[in-house]
Amino acid sequence: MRRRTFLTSLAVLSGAALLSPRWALGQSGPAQKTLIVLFLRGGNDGLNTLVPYAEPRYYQLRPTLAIPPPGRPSGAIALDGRFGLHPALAPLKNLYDLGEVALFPAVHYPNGNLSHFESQKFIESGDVVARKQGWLNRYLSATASAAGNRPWRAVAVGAELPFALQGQFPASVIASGEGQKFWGGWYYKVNPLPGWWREAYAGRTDPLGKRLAQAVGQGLDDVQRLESLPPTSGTYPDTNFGKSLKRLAQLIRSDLRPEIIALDLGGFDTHARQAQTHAGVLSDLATGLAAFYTDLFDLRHSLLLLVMSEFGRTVRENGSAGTDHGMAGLWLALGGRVRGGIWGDWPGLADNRLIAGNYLAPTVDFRDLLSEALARYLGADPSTVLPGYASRLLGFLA
Amino acid sequence: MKALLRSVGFILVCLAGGAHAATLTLDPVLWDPTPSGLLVTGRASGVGSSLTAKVLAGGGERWRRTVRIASSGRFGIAIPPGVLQAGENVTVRVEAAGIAHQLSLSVISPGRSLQHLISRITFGPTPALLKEAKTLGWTKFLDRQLRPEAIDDSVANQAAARLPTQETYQLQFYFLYRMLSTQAQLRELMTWFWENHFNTHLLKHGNRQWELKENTQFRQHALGRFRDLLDVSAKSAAMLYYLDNHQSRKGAINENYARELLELHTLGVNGGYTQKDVVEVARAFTGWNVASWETGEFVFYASQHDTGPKTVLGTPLPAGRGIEDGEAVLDLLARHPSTARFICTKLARFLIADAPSQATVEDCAQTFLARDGDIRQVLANLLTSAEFFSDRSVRAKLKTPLRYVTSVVRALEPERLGTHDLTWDMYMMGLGLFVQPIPTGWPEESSAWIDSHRMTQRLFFANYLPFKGPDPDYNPRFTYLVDPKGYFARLGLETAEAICGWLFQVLAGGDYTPREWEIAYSLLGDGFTLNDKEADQKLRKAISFVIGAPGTQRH
Repeated sequence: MRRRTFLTSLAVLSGAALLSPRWALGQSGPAQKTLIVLFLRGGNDGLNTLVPYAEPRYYQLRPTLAIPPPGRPSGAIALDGRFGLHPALAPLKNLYDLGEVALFPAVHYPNGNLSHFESQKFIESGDVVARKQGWLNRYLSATASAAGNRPWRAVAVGAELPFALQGQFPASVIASGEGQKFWGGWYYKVNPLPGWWREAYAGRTDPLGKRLAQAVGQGLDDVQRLESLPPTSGTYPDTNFGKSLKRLAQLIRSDLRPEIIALDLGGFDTHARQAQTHAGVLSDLATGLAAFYTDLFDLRHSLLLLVMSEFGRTVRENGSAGTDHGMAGLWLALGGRVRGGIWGDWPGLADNRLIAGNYLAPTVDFRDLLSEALARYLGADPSTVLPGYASRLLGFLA
Repeated sequence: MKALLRSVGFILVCLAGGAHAATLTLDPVLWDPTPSGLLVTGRASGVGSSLTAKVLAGGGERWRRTVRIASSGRFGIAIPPGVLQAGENVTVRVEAAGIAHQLSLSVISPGRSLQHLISRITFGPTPALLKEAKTLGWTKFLDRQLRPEAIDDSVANQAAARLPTQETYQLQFYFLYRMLSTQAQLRELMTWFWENHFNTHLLKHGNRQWELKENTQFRQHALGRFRDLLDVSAKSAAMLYYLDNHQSRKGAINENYARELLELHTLGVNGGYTQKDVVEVARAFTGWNVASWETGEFVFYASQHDTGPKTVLGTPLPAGRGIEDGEAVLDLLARHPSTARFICTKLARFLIADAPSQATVEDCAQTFLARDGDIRQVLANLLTSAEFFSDRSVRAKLKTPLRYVTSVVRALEPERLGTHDLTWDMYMMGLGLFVQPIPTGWPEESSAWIDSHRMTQRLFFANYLPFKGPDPDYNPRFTYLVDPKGYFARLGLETAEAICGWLFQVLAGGDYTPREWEIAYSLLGDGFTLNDKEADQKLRKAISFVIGAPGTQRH
């Protein structure tokens, strides 16, 4: 490049930078990639999600609940000769064949805690103790100055903020439903209340008052921003989860594309009559994810979806045709940069391999999966987000 | 001493005296004077259209304002936050047309005020409750609330008994109606506490009458013994189905109830039990079941019970017994020190502060153990603890969506109560009555309710509530303030200052900034009267703003 051209292009660049309003406000543009963290609340039964059908012991431990082997009625969908998907996960088979679904059948942490609330807190803390700040919030806080102060960098879609996003970094919560507007009726030409409330909350200086002011300011901004969210052409199931995923797709296509999105799917605590309820939630999960992936297929190389749950369930079915709280369970990763397949050693179901005769033993620490997403995908140093943990990357991300 | 502190006298001094036609009087104040805002009302005649109000303190004039008098003679003086100081005696003096009246006030610290107590042990003040509480004084008001059996609540009871409960929205409204209408506020608050502590999810079992029955029993024992509450929950059809114990049989146990009983109902997650205890407790409850779908009657099926020997928390349960196993476990848990600490922590968080001190909890736990889980004694302990009286506890909690909605509705006394909208509004703010799927129940910590979405939902509620009636899309199942003018007229509040002062006191606990005052006041305007052509509309706007104001979110 000749010196003159170089100088000209530099001038054009800086001119553009000065003109762009977003740049002028010190905000960076939409995220170039998005990490989506989906938490299956209640403890998903990994064994009946990714079925170890080649292991006869599985059928002994689960006389009424086991998913039949491939080829039988309502049988598993064969993947690799050892494992098959629950039939309700059929919509994900195409994505698996595309090589963009990684399955981790035995993920947990040492000395698994059998309480939902403890185990969720641990995993969302990115630790084996409960912390005050979620792991995603720690990542966001650590990179806040470099990323610039832009809205919707981190968003929870649903009715509440999952613990992983809780902490000092202010993530937005965006509902999946419609009608999130102030009512003007025929009393106000222009409703002055939102502006007055913003001012009123901003005038409070005590710690609780400041927190409320922050949330109110952000919420009022979100109400305005949601009005200009682009539509999406994807066809989603008419469930809450489907609506959330649709909102997710709209956010990702917007010019405020989030870098981090968290959402929840509940209903996995299948203590009794599991066969029906579990098939129902898995179907919701798979149908929704397949619709989402199809809708955003052009963007999939800049998407990573991590699917997790607080624990797997007892390998033995209980007396109520259900399963109780267990330890290691199934995690999933989806995305254009994911190396598909089944990852991590399979601990097996032999009595001497189980913990206390009833829990699957972990072979992959969940923090290794978080570390890999942080290091290889977000380009962050895992040790700043998960301090004190020496991570071991599996290489499931290209 | 306490009684003396509470007995803030209303000393009315007539300086002018004589047989003048002109009169000036100040009403008894409905709130304990504290450094927060205070509304003083009164009436005048023959003194013109305004008066001068002053606060005299420490031998000098602290504050003054020109106050408008309505044509009826009513006036209100809103002394803003920060004028009064705790521990001092002040005089509020009004002067007009050469006459004056004054009122002496002892200003106390906010933590010791009646309004702090009311905000924590009720679903929010109503105009009538404020009067009643002020008449009784702090100690007697608390005593009365701690002895609901002596309260004549027949009006609310009869009205509630006529409400249908067949549909989910009806059941939700029934419960909400009791919260809004009962005189026995603390009992109802504690009914909610236990309902939430022993959470069950209506949609899991689908039987509304089970929830109603359980709710009625929690009310019966709300201030009684913890062991009785535990019994209600353990034998409730709603609980037996919700946590799957009806499925748990000898040789085929289901751990769900056993675990949550230990973790969430009694000992707490660090209360000193092991997975072995969970299994043993589950064995002890085998055979605890529901006799019939229709009645939800509890039944013990001996044939399903595991009669083998068990050991729970180190205590052996001998072989060969039946229902005694489960009863013994409940006895053991109800009197366990970890339970005392766990329940006291939750109650302290509910009534005092998000992070109650170790000292408060330990002292409460002592009472819990010494009084065999007598909740009335436990509450008395917490509500007279140093931490309860501390100014740090005052207005330090964010109202949950339930407390927010109930306190707004109670304060404004809408003529028509919607059966559909209020529980839905609460649900949109994140709290659904009877439909919390997670066995922890709804959290009481402020932080759990603060995020951009939930705060916005509160503002949507504030925006819409006062306008539902006049809206052309008005749905008759919605709550409606039919006549705001009548509401203020009944309360003798007619000027902009009196009305704004009232709204900030009754909704926001006297917690407002000059700018908030300015906004609310400007919506009515200086010369406002209840006869203005636009009075209805202006009042609705002012109400709307104060419902959404920061002070109204807290208690």
